[in-house]
Amino acid sequence: MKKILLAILLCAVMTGAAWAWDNRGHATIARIAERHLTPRAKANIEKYLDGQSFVYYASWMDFNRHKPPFDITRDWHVDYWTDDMRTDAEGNPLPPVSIEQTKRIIAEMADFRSLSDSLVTLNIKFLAHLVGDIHCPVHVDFPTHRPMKIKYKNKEYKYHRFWDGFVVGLVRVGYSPLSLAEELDRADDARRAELQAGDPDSWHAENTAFCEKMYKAVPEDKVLTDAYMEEANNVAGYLFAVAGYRMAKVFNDIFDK
Amino acid sequence: MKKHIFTIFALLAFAPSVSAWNGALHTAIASIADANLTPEARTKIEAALGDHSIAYYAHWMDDVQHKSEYQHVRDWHNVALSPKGKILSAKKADKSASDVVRRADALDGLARAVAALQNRNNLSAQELADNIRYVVYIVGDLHCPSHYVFTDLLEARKMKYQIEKEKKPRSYMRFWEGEAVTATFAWKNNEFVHQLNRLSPERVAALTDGSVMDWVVENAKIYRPIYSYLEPDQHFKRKEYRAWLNKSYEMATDQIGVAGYRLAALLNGLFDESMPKKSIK
Repeated sequence: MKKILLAILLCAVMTGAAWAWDNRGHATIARIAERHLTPRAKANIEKYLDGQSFVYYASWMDFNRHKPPFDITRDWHVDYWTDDMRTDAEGNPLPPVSIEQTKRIIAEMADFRSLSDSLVTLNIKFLAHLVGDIHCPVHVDFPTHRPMKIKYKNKEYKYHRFWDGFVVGLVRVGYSPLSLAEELDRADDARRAELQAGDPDSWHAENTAFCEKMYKAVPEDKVLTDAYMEEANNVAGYLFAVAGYRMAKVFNDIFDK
Repeated sequence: MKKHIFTIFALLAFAPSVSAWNGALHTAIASIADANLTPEARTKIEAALGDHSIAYYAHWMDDVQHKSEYQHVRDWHNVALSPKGKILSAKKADKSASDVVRRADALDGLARAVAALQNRNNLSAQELADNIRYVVYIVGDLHCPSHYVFTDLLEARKMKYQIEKEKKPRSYMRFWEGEAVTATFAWKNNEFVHQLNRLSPERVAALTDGSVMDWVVENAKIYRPIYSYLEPDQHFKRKEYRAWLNKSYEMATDQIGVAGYRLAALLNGLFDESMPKKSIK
């Protein structure tokens, strides 16, 4: 709880201007990560991307989830199964999909030189997206938020879509992914190390708390207030920054060797 | 002066996107070119442009073409090609040829601007600035797939598509002027430079090799297949539209970078004595 309060406090001092987790949001997170790659990790990653930056691929998973062969990744973006399947055949609860896939890929990449080049390239594209997605509050299976609709300034949005694509761009405007990354990337080395601590499970727990908090803060009449928007803006700004820092850690751990 | 400043801001705010890459993509191309200018070329060019970069004036030609003194640039957007990819002269086009073919005079416009800059001692300051801005703009357009008018595919240029829940169909040619890139990447010019200005010197040398005509012939081969990407009056569900975008965005985005490198090569050859000169033919 203390940690979450600290995080919220940090939100208050960070300028969060973003569009949440649409392609601009993902590019912002990936760019923050790129700013903290070690030179060796950066060189190793770009070797697999034919010289390209992984920021270019930050939303590649979103672009390719509807058609074979990558439609198998359709459910990897969120922690619940799209068909609302929550248990296996024996009735055991299924693990959060996005977290399991992120952990699986990180483990598989531990010895990346033993993998085929094409698999390493694919896994870079996956991680450049998934580490962002597991920091999106509406990618958590908090009961009932998914069908909910809200209104802001007389316009109706699906709550999930609102967080995914609009939540903060409506409060502060004028940023592009590179400039927003620069704006949000303000933690010093010690603070950044603190924020990078943990693993996908603990990051997911923190994001779940944000999901619950922001869902419960929605007014009963579902009309979002300016106060809600300001707080959402700050929460998203914090999550962008930590997702970027943690993505950098994931990539540095894998590729700085 | 105040009036001029207001006009410049108004132009920037209401930059039209008629028959060309949209303004943001022209700016992206010029930004990449700017990053590849030699210091000597950049110094001379910026002096001619009133201490502005080429990116600042990237879509200027679009902005002025409605003015009476710039009517001549209105046909400097497209290139016409035979079914086999032979470049056709708009000047020599038969009177019965389609209007879009007879007005596909971008190469002539570029040749005139380049010739003027090669003899720039004879130009007034205004003419010098204008001809630089013509080159910046036209090289961009020569890398926009919808600016290649294939005489056997004129009907296909009228294709439209519709996305579910939208009231009006969208123009396929207009798609290639912006959406092919911007529906996937919400970048501004700093992102375009960051993402696309990273090719190896060998790759850049290969891309900028040859004449402008060589570039056009090569581009025509890359662009012709776009007419097979779409069925006439195709309707998309949202998810189908996203999957369909995957056919086009990488090529369209790559062309922004290619155009930037080639524009830099052309301008370096014109403004830096130590750099190889690029020819039109």
